[in-house]
Amino acid sequence: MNRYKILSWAAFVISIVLLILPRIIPICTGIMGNGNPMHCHYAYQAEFIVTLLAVILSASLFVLRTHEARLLASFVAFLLGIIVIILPQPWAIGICENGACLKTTFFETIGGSILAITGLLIALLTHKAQSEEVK
Amino acid sequence: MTLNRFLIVAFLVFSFGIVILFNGLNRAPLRYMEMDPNTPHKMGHSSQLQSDVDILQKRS
Repeated sequence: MNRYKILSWAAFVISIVLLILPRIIPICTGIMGNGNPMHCHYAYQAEFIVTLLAVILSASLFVLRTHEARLLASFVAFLLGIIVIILPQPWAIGICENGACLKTTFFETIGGSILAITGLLIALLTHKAQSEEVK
Repeated sequence: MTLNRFLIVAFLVFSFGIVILFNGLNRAPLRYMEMDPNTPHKMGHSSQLQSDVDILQKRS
């Protein structure tokens, strides 16, 4: 198994973990006094859609054959990892100050960082392979 | 797996994910909480926190 496949599997597994993380480590389930869900609810609904896209994109790394396609897919996976980190920030959507939400966000941030690093490594690896092929 | 077949599977996975999101199965269900202004269960934004506290004070 070459390095590209190992990193692709890593990105796929991390995306799956990020997708089911709010099920494993739940966020708070409270509703605000006026009956609306809190910011954390919306933040993790958005996280679900982004990580669903990350799962499909990281799975596509197994079927893509050309260097350009692999480079683009891994770069978008890198960007999605950054979005996963950004969404719970107070200047984006935000979360409440409850311990459960902070705990979920802690692990979500670690997972998002790993996804971003993995995406970047795949992009660099593909770029290197592409340059060697041109030579 | 060819790319065409992958795109069909990916679309089905995406549709299934959206259905899960719509049904609220992706996370624990919401429940109404009796919020005490002294507990740490507060919004990070002071304006909304203040509106929550005002509503609770009106109720009590």
